[in-house]
Parts: sequence; structure tokens; C-alpha cells
Amino acid sequence: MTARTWLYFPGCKINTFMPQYGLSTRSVMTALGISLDQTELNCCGYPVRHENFAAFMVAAVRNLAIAAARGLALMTPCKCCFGNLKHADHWMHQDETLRRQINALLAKEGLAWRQGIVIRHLLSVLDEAVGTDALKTAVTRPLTGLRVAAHYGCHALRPGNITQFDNPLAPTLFERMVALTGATAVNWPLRLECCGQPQTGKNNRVAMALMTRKLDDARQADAQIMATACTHCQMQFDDGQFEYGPPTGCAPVPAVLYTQLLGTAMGLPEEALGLEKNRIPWRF
Amino acid sequence: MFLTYCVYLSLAVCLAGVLWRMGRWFTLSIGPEAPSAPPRARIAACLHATSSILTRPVIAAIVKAWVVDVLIQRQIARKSVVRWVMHMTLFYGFVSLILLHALDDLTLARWDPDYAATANPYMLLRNLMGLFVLTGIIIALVRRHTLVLLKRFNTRADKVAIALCAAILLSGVGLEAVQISSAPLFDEMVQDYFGGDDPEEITSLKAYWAAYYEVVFPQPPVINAQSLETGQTVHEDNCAACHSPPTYAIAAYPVVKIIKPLAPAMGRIRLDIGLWYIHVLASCIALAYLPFGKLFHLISVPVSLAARAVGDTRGNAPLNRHTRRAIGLDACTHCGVCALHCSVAPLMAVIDNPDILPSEKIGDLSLWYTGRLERNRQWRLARGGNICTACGRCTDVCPAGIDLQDLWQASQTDLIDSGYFSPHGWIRTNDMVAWSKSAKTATTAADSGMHLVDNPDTFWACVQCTICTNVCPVVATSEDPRRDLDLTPQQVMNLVRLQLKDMALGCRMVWDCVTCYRCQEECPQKVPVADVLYELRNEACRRLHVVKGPTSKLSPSDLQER
Amino acid sequence: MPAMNEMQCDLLVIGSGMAGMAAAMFAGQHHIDTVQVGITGEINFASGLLDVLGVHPQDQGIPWEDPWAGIRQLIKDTPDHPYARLGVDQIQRAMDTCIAFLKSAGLHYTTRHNLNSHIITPAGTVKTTYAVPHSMAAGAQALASKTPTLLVDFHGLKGFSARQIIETAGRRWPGLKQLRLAFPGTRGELYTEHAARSLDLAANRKALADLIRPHLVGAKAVGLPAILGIYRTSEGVTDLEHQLGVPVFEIPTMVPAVTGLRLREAFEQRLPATGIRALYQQKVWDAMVLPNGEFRFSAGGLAPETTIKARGVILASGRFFGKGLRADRSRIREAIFDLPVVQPKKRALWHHKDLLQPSGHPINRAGLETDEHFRPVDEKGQVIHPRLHAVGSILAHQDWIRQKCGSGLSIATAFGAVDAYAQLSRQ
Repeated sequence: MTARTWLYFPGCKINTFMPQYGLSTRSVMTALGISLDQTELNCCGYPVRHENFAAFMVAAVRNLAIAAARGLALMTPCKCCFGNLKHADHWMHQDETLRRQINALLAKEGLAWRQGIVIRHLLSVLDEAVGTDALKTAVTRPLTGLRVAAHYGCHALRPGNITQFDNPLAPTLFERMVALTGATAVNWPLRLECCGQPQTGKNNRVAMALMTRKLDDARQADAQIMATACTHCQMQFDDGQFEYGPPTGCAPVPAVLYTQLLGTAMGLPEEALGLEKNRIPWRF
Repeated sequence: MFLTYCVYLSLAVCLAGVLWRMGRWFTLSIGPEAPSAPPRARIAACLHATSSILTRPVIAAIVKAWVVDVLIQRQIARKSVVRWVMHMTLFYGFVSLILLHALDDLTLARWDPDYAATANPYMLLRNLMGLFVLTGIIIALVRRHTLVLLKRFNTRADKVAIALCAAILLSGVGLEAVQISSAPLFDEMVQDYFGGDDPEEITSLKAYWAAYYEVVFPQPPVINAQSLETGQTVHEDNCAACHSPPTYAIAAYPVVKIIKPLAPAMGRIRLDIGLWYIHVLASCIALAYLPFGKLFHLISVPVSLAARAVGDTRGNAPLNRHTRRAIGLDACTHCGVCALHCSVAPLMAVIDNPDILPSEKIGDLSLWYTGRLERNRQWRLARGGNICTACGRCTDVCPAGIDLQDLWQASQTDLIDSGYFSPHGWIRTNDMVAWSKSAKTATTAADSGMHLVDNPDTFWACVQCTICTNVCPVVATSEDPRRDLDLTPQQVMNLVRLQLKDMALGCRMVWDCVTCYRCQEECPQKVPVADVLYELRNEACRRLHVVKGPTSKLSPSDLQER
Repeated sequence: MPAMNEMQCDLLVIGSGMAGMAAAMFAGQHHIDTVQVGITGEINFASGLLDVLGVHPQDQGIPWEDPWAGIRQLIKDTPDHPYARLGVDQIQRAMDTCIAFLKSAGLHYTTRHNLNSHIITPAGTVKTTYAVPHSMAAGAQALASKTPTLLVDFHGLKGFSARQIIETAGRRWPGLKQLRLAFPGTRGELYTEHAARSLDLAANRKALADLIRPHLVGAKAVGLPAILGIYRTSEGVTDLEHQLGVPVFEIPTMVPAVTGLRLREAFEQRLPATGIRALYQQKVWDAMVLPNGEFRFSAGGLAPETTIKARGVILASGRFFGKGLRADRSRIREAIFDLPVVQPKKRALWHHKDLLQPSGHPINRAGLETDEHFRPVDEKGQVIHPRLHAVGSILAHQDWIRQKCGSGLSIATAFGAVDAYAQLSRQ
């Protein structure tokens, strides 16, 4: 998918909790010649999916129907939004009764879901629509020597047959993207594991244990920073580490959004990337 | 005399009401910070903050907010031009009518020695303002009855506010129309203001006023060129200084044309006096009602906007946060803009809970904090609040400058403290076995739409190989999975395939799942483990709603006690 | 359905068990443009040990110290066994190549100069195998030389009991001692993958070493269940040996075991890097032969998503658990092409009356008949398609479980089939 204009789906959390992700995404995309359509969209349905599948479907599919109505492919920087929109799209393909019910509800607003709506995560858009060559050209200040642990984010990766993000068992996309910035992507065993965010505020023991485990692993692989490409993962590693602090004797591993890394490597100014909003500071 | 008493009485009620309402800003405790502070401390903290603001540059921001958001209403204009027109016409129409019409003795009469309410430009201006208000009322009615979201949630407060505005305006316009056409009033005026007593002159004046001023006389005067000529002279000598032609009464004039056939009858019963009473009483009622309905926003919104101009609630001193939130509750005009931009509003298509919408939630919160929300609606309020994703768009668009985002967070904490947990929280209030017992009593016919749990095809290939458990990161974080999670994923799958899903609904493994999908990805037999866990949570929530739903009369503790 | 993706390749490998992985690996080494499709779950059930031949004849249960001599005997006795299509040299080359590949993926294996090794199992019995993971090598040594050894097990780890091992193996291996520990940081049930991931971290290894050290007294080696890491196993074993001052080795655990996971990870991570286009977690939904003789498949996870055109195919779809073979009430079918399956005449003849009959059941030897290039043939011996090969456990006339030749069979037949495919293509 190589469109130059995408329907931008920021998701709910960016506005309140992670404005630097929205800012850096827009800065980087503009600099790379991708334009983002900023029509108002609604919740992807992820939070309510625990409670009510039908409500999740209506919310998610409404966004897809808006994309269809505008004739645009949809791009989101959040992996949870991405995964859940893909799930909804999958179920719409899969279940005819559901398809009829949801479309009947959307028809009241003059909207309709149809097949073939393109949903992509930011990383895939960079990979497919911008392309390696353009990214290489755009990187003018390579992050040489920076050791980065690329954190994949579950909801984009799995289940692979629904999300179709990358090989779910041996993905390479994120490491390739990190390498394009001139940094070194370290090999670390827990790179595909959960950050713990889904249980933050629900079961903090689980959430913190998962986060700590990943950070320990990244440290052991001599990573200087953790790179994320998901609003929720970044909230977990940035806010989580800030609020709970690293284990005694350890320095925190700053979590940096991929768009901030790329933007830095492209020589974009710090304010355009919202680096000052990261609670655990990082500068190159 | 009676009406004068009414005016003073309503003014007194209004002032007392405003004081009472503002007093509540310092007594309501909203949010987790220092809940038991006495009102005196709250007022002191508020005064302290206010006085410190006055000496700082932020005062400029407040003035700017008032100009931009109160006087110009830029926030509303950005979101909807129609709504902006509605608000501007209503606001400026009423403000000018109050200042230049209701209080004309104190304003215009002092500034202009030749002031007369029936002379231009005042008559034209008053009618123009009347038309403004009318436009506003019509837009309000149309919006409330056409916009899908708004039309579902017209509250009594909305209707009362519109009805009062309409009563004042229509009685005023009607009054003017009846007065224009009224012969008895003409006679009174002649008696009071006409210098001479020549009956012919009076007859000519009648002819002139019947012809050009729309007065309808019980015995129509003879109208001919001569009577008109004489009438004109008399008119110019005696009346013209205070009376412009009625065509300038652009609001009342069309009404005059319509009621003309009935004018004699109206004159006979002195409808003008009746309407005068109605008009003044309606205004008095509106004045007295002001602190108790949504009209109070005339006071609370500028205060709220000033607070907003200073910054987010989180930046206020803890005591002032309570005050700020209480002001926020009062500042809501139930305008519905937040609902139109709410990120989870589309869920209303499936979940019948108005408290999903910020506009309804804030109303119910107001009731809840003042102890007036019925018990069975409290659960609904908590459930609606749960669904909010904290996208902050309501706060961004609120024309009253309410920090809604903060209000949701604070109230959610209060609701949880009162026992209204989220479903995740509920599950932790009991153990798996107790849950399975109460779950059995609340079976529902519907299912989630994924149709996995009750379908034997989902599990036929499961060989209980434990891979799902082996890869589960949640199990890995547990020192003792049985203690922390009740069951492992593979054991949950086994229960469900044995048709024992009731047992699994309250199992903590189901609720501690991080939805990382490793189990589902790695299952050699492709059992959709994570989706099954999702469906179990859905099922548990549905049963929770059966016993806790909006129609239920059960108390929050019922489920625990079973 | 959404528009299908299109893929074109020279060779399609169907299956991602041991045989499919090996076939993809050999194809990569031949620089054949290859796509691999398969659900990788099954390889989780691999023990991680690479058997070539342990027992022959199986009804007499005769173990072979020299597997190559055993294979020569096997070929002589059962000339239709798949091994007979290869010969010892080819099988040896296949094994060496595979072991070298795994080493390049960070998974080290040890062989005993072309002899079988013996290691202790969690049941306390002795298992004969060809190549053992490096992390188990010290165990084979200790067993051979009856080294006084401390066997450690853990509370909550099912199917692994040091006491049970000593009970069974004690007479043969007198110097065994047992120790039961609570795994650091856990109290309840313990799962091998969780424990292994935890021991990938140095701090947790140190905690474990600290627990074991006081109990060493006199032990010259330490045996632990196979949970010493997934990605950093060699590093972990060396670290523990360093901390304890004695050789440390792993003992296989019940499946699914991390030893299988390590194999899976090695293949999954390494194969795509050698140019294999892997569609893991997908299956082949349907297959057809086009008029020009090429194959067309649709593959996908929950539904067909990708159309794959291929010149040739290596079918490594496994037996019943891998879903390469399917049994209905009357007969056994091959799942993708409905290839003829050599099988007993009727269902009643599938099994012996005696469940534990040492010679196995006739159904165990059912499978695909092939020519010398591992191309399936029909009842008359005619090749069904000139570029369709079948490898691994789906082949007839073998009983890999009882003959202890699973890995060897998979690797060697994959080697032979890819080699044949490459040669036939050149012609």
C-alpha cells in the first residue's frame, strides 16, 4: 500500500496522555511527504471489548466505514488500535449475521463497512508507503552507536493471521526500521513479549512484573534505550518507570517513540518531536 | 403594586438561590483529595488562590477568556455556526432586552431625556432584539428535536429553560401587538396626554390612528382625506414625539395583522393588561428560577472559564480542586457539544446507558454528589463512567471550560470508593467458587457474537498439551499460579470444553489476561485461547448487568453477599 | 473475501515440523527460491535430541551403539524403509549439515564420534540418541562414567522427579543424590518455559546457584531439568558451572519442553535470514495442478489469504497430529493432495489386539510410498507428479517412534528429497 494520503487514526490516549506521539508522528510524516487526513474518529473499541463484543464491533467498524466513505486507507500509530481495528475487520469478513447487524446500525448515519478497507500501522506505512530508500535519504543525522531494544507490541503482532503485521514468530520490521535510523537494534529474548500495560490499573502486580522483566532483559542485552511504536506500550515504559522507578542499583531504560528516534535522525527540531514531554528524558 | 412585590420577591429568591448555589461550591467534596476539609478552609483556599491570581499576568488570560469565550463565544463558533447563532442571538437579545427594555427606567430614560419606548429607534431595536431571541429559541427547539443524540436526552431543565424564554418573549411580543391594536388603550392615552378636548380632533386622530397605527375601534371612525389631514396635524402635535409608526415594531407588527379581527374582543377584555401580568410574572419566575436551573450558567460559566484560563484542575491546590469540580458541575448547560464529539458515543447504539455520554454523565454526577440520584441509577452512572476512554475531547470542546477529564477521573475514584467497581474490580471482590454460584443465577440467553465458548468445534482439537500455559506471560509472573490466578489458561480451556463455563467466569486468569495472544498464536491445535478468554469476560459482564443493570433495584453489595 | 496476495516460487515446502524445517534449510543451501508454509506448534513437542537410529529390530528392542551399523542392518532387513533410499553416507551428510546449521543459529549439539550417546530420561530410563544438545553432553558423560551427581528437581514442576530417576536408575548409576528446591521466585506450579526464560537472566541463575551450592557436598556434577534458558542456554550452563565449580547438565523434561522450543526458535529465526519466505502459522487450504504442470495453492491462517504458485513441492505435513494424514471410519487419507496411502486393507487391521505390542501396529507403518527421489507413487509404482516430493514421518514403512529414528528420518529424507529436486531440476 503506497498511498500518499492516509486517514490518521490517533486513538483516544494520544490527546491526553501521549501528545508527543501525535506531534512527532505528524512532524515526521509531513517531512516525509505523507499527508494525514484528520477527520474526527471515535474509539477503536479496545477498552470495551472486554465487556461487550458487539459494542466493540460498532465502535471499531464505524471508523472503518468512515475510511471507506472518504476513500482513504487508515493509518494508526497505536498498536492496540491497529490490532483491534484488524480484529473488527476480520470479524466483519468472517460473520455474515454480524456484518448485517453492524451495517444496519451504521446505516442510520449513512455509513457502511465494505471489504477492502486498508488498515496499517505507522511502521508498515513507513516501510511500504515511504520506503527504505526515501527513509535512508531522509536520515541526515544517523544515531550511530545507539543500542536500541525494539519492543514489538503484542496487539500488532498477534494473532498474526488477523493482524498481518509481520511474521508473528520471527518479525523483522521494527529492527529494520531501527537500523534505518543508524542505530543498532540489539537482539533480546523478550522482544516479542507483553509490556504489561493492559493490566495497569487493574492488576498492577502483573503489569509491573511484566514491565520489569522486559527492562531487565533489555539491560542484559546492553540496550541504551527501548524503542516503542505504540501509545500504550510507551505509557507503560515511560510513565511506569517514572512512577515506580527502576530496581535498586539500576538506571532506568528510557523509552523512546520510534517517531522521535526517526525524527531525531532526520534532524527535526526537538520541539517538533515533543522530546521534552517524555518523563524519562532522552537526547541523542 | 402586586407586580412590584413580585419583582422584589423574585429578586430576593434569585439572590438567595445564587448564594445557596455558590455555597455548594465549597461544601461538595468531589475527588480523592483531603475529603473532610470544612467549607471555611475551602473558601479560604479559594480566596487565597483568587487573590494571588489578581496580581499575576494570568489575569490577562482570564480577561481574554471572558472576551473570547463569553462575549464572542469563539469555542462554540468553531464547533457549530448554527449553535453559535443560537447562543449569540439568545444571549445578546436577552441582555439588551433586560438592560434597555426591562430596566429602561434606569438606563435609557436617564441617558435620553426624550426616551419613549414606543418611539424609534427604541421600538425598532426592541423588536429587533425580540426577533433575535425568537431566532435563538427556534434554533434551540429545532436542534433539540433533530440532532439524534440531543433529542434522546432532553431533560426537564432544558425544557423549562426554553419554555421560560419562550413565555417571556411571546408574551412580550403579544403584549405589544395587543397594545398597538387596543382602542381602550388609545382612549387612555388620549385622556392622559391629549391637551385639547375638541371631539372632532379626537375623531380625526382616531381616523388617523386607525389608518396608520393599526388601532381597531369598536365603532370604526370615518376615514376620508379631510379627517386624515386633521388627524395628522393633531397626531404630529401630540403623539408623534413618542410614537413611531407600528410598522417599525417588526416583531409585533405581523402579529397585529393576524389578531386584527379579534382586536375589539381583546380590547373589551383588556387582554393587554392580562398579557402584561403574564409577561412580568414570567420574567419574575425566570429571575427566581435562575439559580435553580440551567440558567445559572450565566454565573457559573464565566467563573468556570476563568478557572480554566488559569490552568488544569491538577495544577490547583488540593482543596481548590474540589471547589473547581463543584463549579464545573454547575457550569454545565447541557448543551450537548461534548456528546457530539465523545469518542465512545457510538457505543450507545449497542449499550443502552445514557451515562456513557459526558453531557448526561455530568448531570447524573451532579445529582449523585448532591444525594439526589436514585439508587438504581447509581450503578448505571458508574458503568457509563467506566466506558470513558479519557480521550479528552469533551474537555477540549466544552464551551463552559469545564475540566471534564479531571471530573471523570475524580468521580470514578469516588464511585469506586462507594463500591461501584469496574468489572475487573468486581471480580476481585469475590473468589471463583462464589462467583460461579452467583453467575449461575444470572444466566442470559444472548451471547457475545463470537460464538466460541458454547461451540464444541472450538475445542475439539485441544489435547491439553499446556503450551498455552507455558507461553503465558501472566502465569510466568506468578509465584504461585493457583493462588494468584485460580487456573491456568489450559485449565480454563478444559473447564469450558466440559461445558463448565460458569466455573470459569470469575476465575482470575480470565481477568488477569493481558491479551498478548501468545497462547492463541502458539497453540499447535489452533484453539483461539485468547478470544475464548475475551468471550468469558463478555459473558461475565453481561451477567453482572443482569443483576446490576439499570433496571435493577439491587444494592451494590448484593452480589457480594450471595 | 479480501483480495488474495500472490506469491511465486520455485519450491513450496508444506510443513514446519522437523522435516519441513530441514527441507527449507537444505533448499536454502541449494539457493532454491523457497516458500515454507506451516503451523509451527508441533515442533514444540520435539525432545531436542536428534535420534538417527536407536532400535532395530524393534520387536526385539535391540539397541545400537553404532547407529550407522544399525542402519546398514535395517536397510538389509527392510529394503522399503525410507532410509534405504539414501544409504549411510547421505544420512551422515544430512545430519552433519543440519547440526552445523543449528550451530550457526546458536544451538550447539554434541555427538560421540559417530556413535550413539546415552542419556538419562525423566523416568530414570536410559535413552539412546545420536546428537545431544550441548547442555546435556555432560550428562551423557556422567552417566557413562557413573560420576557422583546431584539431581535437582523443583516443587511444582510436573513430570520431573529426581527421586523417581534415582529409584529407576540408582542401580546402574549409584552415586546419585537428590535435591528438591523451590524455584527462585515461585511457590506453586512451575512451567518449563517460564523457568527457562527466567534463567536467561543472570540474576536468577545466581539465585539458583546459591540454592544448590550448599547441597553439593561430594557431588561431581549437577543434573537439572531442561530449563536452563531458551536463548542463552550455553551461556547459562557455563555460568552455572562456573558458579558451582562442577559440570552442569540438563535432563529432558516432559513435552512440550523448552528443548523443542529452542529448536523451533533456531529454525524460525534463522531460516528467514537465509532467504526462505516463511508463512508460519498458516496452512495450505487447497491445492491444484495447473495445465502447465505447476502447482497452485491457497494458504492462510483462518482463511485462504495468499495464492502461491510453485514449480515443485516438498510435502512434510507429518502424520495424524501434524494433520498430514487423516483417518475416517474406513481409511486413511493424505490431507492435501489425497495421495494414495499405503495402509492395511481394513480398519480392523489397523491395530494389534495388544496395545503395547513391541513391534508396533500396522497403522504406524502406513504412509506414502515413494520412488528413490522421494516422489509419491501410485499403486502401480507410477510417479504421481515429477516435482512432488514427500519427506518425514508421512512416509510409509517406518515406525520412527519405536525405531528411535524420528529426527534422522526427517532430516535425511528432507536432504534426499531436496537434493533430488535440485538435480532433477538441473536436468
